[in-house]
Amino acid sequence: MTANIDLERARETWRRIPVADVPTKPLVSQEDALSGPSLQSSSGTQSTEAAFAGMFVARRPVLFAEEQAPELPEQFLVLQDWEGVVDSIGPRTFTARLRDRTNKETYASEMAELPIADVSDDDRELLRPGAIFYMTVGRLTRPSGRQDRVGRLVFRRLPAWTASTLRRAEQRAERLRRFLASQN
Amino acid sequence: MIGPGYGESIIVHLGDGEWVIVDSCIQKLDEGGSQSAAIAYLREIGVDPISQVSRVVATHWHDDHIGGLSQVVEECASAIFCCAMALREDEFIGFASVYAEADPSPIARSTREIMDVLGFLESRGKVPAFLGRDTLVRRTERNISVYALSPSNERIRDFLARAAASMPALKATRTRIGDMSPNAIAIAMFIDLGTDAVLLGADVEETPGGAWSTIVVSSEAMRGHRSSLYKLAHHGSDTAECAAIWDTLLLPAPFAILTPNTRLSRPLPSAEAVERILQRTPHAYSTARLTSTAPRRRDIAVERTLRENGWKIRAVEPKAGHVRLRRRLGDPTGEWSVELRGNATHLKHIRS
Repeated sequence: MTANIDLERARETWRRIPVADVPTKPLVSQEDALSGPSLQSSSGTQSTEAAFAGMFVARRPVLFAEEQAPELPEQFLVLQDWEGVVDSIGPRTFTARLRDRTNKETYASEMAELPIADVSDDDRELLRPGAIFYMTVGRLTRPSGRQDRVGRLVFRRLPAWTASTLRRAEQRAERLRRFLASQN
Repeated sequence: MIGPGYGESIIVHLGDGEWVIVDSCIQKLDEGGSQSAAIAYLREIGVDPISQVSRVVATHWHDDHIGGLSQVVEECASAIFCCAMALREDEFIGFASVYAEADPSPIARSTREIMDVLGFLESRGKVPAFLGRDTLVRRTERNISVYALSPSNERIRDFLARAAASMPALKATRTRIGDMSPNAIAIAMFIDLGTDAVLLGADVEETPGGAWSTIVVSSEAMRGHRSSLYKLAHHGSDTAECAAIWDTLLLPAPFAILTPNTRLSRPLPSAEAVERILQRTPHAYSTARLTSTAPRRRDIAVERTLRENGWKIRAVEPKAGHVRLRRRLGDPTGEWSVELRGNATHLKHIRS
């Protein structure tokens, strides 16, 4: 008679208890020991009675480590947000005109000088005169609950020119050309 | 001339209640929002923009010269809109149509603004007047004449070649319009008052390309005339400086006016430029002081973060100012009277 330890069934049967009480080996119920298939051992298959000879079998829970609580995501509260246009690029800094989005300005009323080092590697190729970026200062709350003030520079990636956009522009241009030509 | 913080607009009275607006800028309203500085001024002095403005000139399409231009063109219903000859060419129209679609953000507005103006005129069937060297813009019954002095054909050709080369390819990543150097095709203007003259320099630069040298040598409109009033080109910058302007086109010690430009890495005019101009004339004025840009106050957490990151921000909007110059037409001995309003100042105080 052989018995395989059905750990999945054991998990369903037995309650969970704190980690500190987990023994080094799982135990098997008396029913499984007496009626189930024989227990496999390193010496090969042996009879159930022999397998459990000398062992004390009791109803004891199968214990598992307590599951970890799910992580809370980071939260970012925007305190101030600008849209910027790169004006010039120096060896270590670049200058830009800024429009205050937080105060809903419609034109750039501030100039900034910003370290090139604060532009991420991914965005570095986008750093050129005329490039648009978003500059944000906010409060970052980490999963642990810790709060930090952070500033971010994110360059805007415009989509590729599509055939429909170019076509629309050409239609507009053609209308204008015809109008101007008709009056000459 | 009005310089309400950023940009410039020149409003010229040609006599008999006829006005010309050169360039446009906006001014903030106390109650929020903004309006065209030129329209606001004309209404303030009882001038009807609808019937009394005969010309609206856009010298070029940098955003400090065309802010609110659409509003001006729409309100000045009787006016003929004037712009550089290059803007009617296929290369510019195609180029500007595409880049007006490139980016919808408010900060990328100048190309859209000029295309919106042209589109509006098309919808009303009003053809613009396209200006180049020595084009007559307007002659009044009193024989006061307004001329464009630039751009030259050569500059137009160069500009159009750059526009054609900048056309985007299908599937290429969109970019905003690069530096097309609109100053290269900017329109300098000359107003012949009969016994006197006025030179408006727009943003025409001498360096590179020698635009002013070309104007000095080849302009027929100005032959034999010297101006007593000069709107300094390109905010008094070194790149717009040309000795021949002062020696050939202007009377000794003319009246000179400028608007500062604080939205550059190095604000204009520089301290050296101020000194240079004051050596030429003691009668020099600016629509705003460079030092009047009070820093914006923000949440202390924001200011601390900016400081800790080494992010330097300065306000670039000087308080509004207005320089008004008047003289009696037909009086050869008369001088210009100067009135300063708001933040306008004598040039020697521009940094105090």
